[in-house]
Amino acid sequence: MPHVVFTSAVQRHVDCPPEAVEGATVRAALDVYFKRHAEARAYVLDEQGVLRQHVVVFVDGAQVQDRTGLDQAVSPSAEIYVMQALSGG
Amino acid sequence: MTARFFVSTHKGLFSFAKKEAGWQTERVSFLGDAVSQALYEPRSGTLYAALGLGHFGVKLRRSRDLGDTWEELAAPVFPKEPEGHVESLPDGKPWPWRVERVWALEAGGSLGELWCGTIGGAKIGSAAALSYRPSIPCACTRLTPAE
Repeated sequence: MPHVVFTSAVQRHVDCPPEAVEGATVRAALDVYFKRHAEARAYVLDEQGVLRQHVVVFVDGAQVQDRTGLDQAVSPSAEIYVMQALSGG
Repeated sequence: MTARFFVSTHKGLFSFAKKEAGWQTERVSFLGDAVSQALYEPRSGTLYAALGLGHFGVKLRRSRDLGDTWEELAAPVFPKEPEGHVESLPDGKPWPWRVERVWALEAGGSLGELWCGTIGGAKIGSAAALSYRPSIPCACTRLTPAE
């Protein structure tokens, strides 16, 4: 099962421990996760169900590009990593 | 009864209490996080705080012990954006359909009722759910005691 992991910046605010969840896509896996940890949902997705503007998701180290649908397929051994967007110069 | 006031800042919520030596900092909550509004509701002794967490959006918290402990409430949200709907703000940018900041908190008429103004001020609607009016740059919600 895909493994969902949150950066400590999210865990500082809301309970979101790493967990293995069922799901063939990023969206499906996150939906299962947020059913177990409902309060974490609003930290990652906005009220339109879209990834928050300054949140990014990586699957096995590659950034998810479809931020609205989150339909990217994930393998059973995938790591889905959720973190805040970072920038700098 | 101790006199106190609360100060919402970009770096936390500060509580000041009047002691014999004068006003003193009593408590700091959400240190380092932006608190856009706070409201003490004296009838129930409940303290509310609206946060803007930047990356992670707008949050609403409630404390029944003047800020020692907090619990998360569902923050106000816009309804689902109708498909194909196009609307612009006065500056030409698309209407966000997302709560970006809680601008006002007001105690409602009944005990435990709370109103949140999210854009443009404390315009208060009458619906229990978030109301949205294209002509008024404001969205409001009411939290009932059950919430």
